[in-house]
Amino acid sequence: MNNIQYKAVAAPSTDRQLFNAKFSHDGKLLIAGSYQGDLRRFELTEAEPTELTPFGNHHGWVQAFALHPTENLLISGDSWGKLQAHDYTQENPMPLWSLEDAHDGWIRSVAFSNTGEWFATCGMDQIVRIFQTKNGKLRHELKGHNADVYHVLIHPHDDSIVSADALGNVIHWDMKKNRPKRQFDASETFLAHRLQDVGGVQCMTWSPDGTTLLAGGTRPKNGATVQGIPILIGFSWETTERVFLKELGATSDCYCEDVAYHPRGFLMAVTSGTPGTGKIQFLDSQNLDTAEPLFLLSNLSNCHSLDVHPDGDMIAVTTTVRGSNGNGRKVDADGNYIGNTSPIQLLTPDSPMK
Amino acid sequence: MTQSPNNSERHPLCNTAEHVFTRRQLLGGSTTGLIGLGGLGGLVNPLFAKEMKSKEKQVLFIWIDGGMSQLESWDPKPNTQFGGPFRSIPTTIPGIHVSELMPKTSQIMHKLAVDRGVSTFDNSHSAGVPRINRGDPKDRGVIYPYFGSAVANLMGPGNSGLPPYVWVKPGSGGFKYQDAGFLGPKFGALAIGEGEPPPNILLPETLSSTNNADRNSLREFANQQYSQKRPPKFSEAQNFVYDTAQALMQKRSLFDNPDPKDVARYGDTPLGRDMLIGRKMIEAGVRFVKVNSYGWDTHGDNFNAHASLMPRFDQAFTAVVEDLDERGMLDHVLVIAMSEFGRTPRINGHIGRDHWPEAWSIAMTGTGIKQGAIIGSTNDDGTWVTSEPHDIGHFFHTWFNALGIDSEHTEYINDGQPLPIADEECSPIRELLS
Repeated sequence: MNNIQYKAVAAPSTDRQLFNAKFSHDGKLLIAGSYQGDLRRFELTEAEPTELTPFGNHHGWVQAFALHPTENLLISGDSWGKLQAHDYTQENPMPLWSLEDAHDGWIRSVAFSNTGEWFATCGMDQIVRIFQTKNGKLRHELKGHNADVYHVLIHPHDDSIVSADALGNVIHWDMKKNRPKRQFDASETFLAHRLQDVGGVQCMTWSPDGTTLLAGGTRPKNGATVQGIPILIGFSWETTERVFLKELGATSDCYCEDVAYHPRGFLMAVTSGTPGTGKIQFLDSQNLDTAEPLFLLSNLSNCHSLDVHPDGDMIAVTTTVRGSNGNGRKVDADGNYIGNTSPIQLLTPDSPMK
Repeated sequence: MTQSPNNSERHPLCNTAEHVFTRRQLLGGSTTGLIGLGGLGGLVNPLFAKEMKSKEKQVLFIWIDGGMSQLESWDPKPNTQFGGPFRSIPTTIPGIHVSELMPKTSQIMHKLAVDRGVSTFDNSHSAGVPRINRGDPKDRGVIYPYFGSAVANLMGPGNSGLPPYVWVKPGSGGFKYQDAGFLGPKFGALAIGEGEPPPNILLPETLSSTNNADRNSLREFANQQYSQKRPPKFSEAQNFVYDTAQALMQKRSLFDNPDPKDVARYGDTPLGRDMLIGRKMIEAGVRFVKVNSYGWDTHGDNFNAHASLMPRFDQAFTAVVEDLDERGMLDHVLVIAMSEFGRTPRINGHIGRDHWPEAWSIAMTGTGIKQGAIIGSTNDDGTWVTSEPHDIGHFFHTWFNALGIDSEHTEYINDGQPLPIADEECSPIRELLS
């Protein structure tokens, strides 16, 4: 456990910035949402990842998507409020169904129930909605947040729905009464600074046994060029009490953008701070107070998501191009304006982690 | 990818490498009869000043410090590489859209004028803020005044008895003489910080009017002693500040608790509070009111930031424009909303936008402005201006003209040196003028 070492094996990229790269269930595909209305796929069966045909007739940003737990089905939501279902293994995936106004504006997160029969979404309209997977029919509408809802999560044992918002309020919903049942206080992730609401819960996950709910974000210091200490807060699912708070860096490291448990039991987190600042770190989940992470990679630029390959070895971390920031015109030799992209770092351990 | 325009084509009306004040212009200015001969620091011709005073026009200048993103406000490019997550929404002007973060503004668009073809030079705050606020004048070895100080000087304090230049802002208040440049400290800004009146504005209850008069006599004596061996502009400034305080003592109601209905309309935010005070100052007759909002330098988390910043601007801005309109005050009040630059189309790794002076937008309305004039344009992904680019010098000319000041022939006299009030190689933007 103390000798984990990872090495970069590839960094597929495309002509647009990307969100939330995830592996398909068979591990042959890597899928990510883009900053311009579609989803991008990379085939991983060859030594070098190959980009396949983009899909999804979306608008704006496709930040929110989730893979069905057993089928080759993907639900994606865009920043204009549209939801779609696709078979992501098709050569040119066509929508199985589409809801143009599933939310009023930015859909931030999608999560499937354990069977995949239904899924939950949330977004800028401050509402959590439950839809039927097979046809996109609305089943429930959950109102109670007072801010943009950033993340929704389903409990692995009983399909309980939890959602977290920009103010750091985490709600466990009573599905029978369509109202909040319990609340978890992650308001430490929020700061009202000048005119700006800063922070909020950026990511959530469950401990493998479902007894602890983890919420990640930052303890904001200021708005505008946001700075703050990335933090992970653990809550007892049974009592809602806080059971730990783990700082993941300095103020320049800013947000804990994603968190997950590795099948081997340790905790993985990625951070994204001031431009160029990004870290991957693995933590001993039994000893979170241990000062040194089990593994730390700090030479990446702005890590925004992570996912573990079904083989338990490879991990995918969405990053950005170092030096992509800067004031004023930045043009290439031909005078073309230079945009940014999101290299997806694929890393494998030095020795297989079975 | 989009092609960068040739630098030499950026500012066809401001394209001289060296900004030179010519002998012809000097003489030409003199023959207009608008240059005063008195040689007093920062004064204009007395006849001109008298004319300006009689017009009683005013300015509400909304300064969005740090750089509002044009793509999340006036010039959205939805569904493009750099367009960001937000939708655009239609406005009251057919075919014109703004960001969905401005729903209230979209309903008063026909009352506004917006130039989407702004292209300026400085991409740092330290250079950009003063240069934009001074109208990017040519270097003549003097420090030009900010727009507020310029208007205070050119148009005078008006009849309100209040200071001509009031700056309503978060943070500290006080007298900010630095804005005045060569005009001298008298034309600086009286800053109202955190919505609070200047401290000790009321006479202590223990001080009788007789004692107060005695104290004033002593003060005046001390002032005379002070001014005997100093340039007049220092004693003028000192007297001015004192007179300002006296005037504010009579207007304590400006700082009374606001009507809760107004708070609800303007927003219970620092900008809502300050915009409401700004409106009261305009109603009270202050010549130039600057309302300041901080925190717009969104190098990180730009989109979540604008999701909370923009609605608060939208609410306060719309409320003040509607109030001035309902009161018939847009006939004589010029309203301007602007930053020091826009924000980069490129989205950096911190999901932020950096500084972008190349292509951004400025909004305005009120006296002298053609309502509904949405001019200027950028290319499809918002990287470059495709219309005639307008530098800040063009806007200074435009705003001076909207206030009834002939910007191309009016000059300051600084210790005998005639100085143009706006970049003489720029000109008013006629499409924006009514």
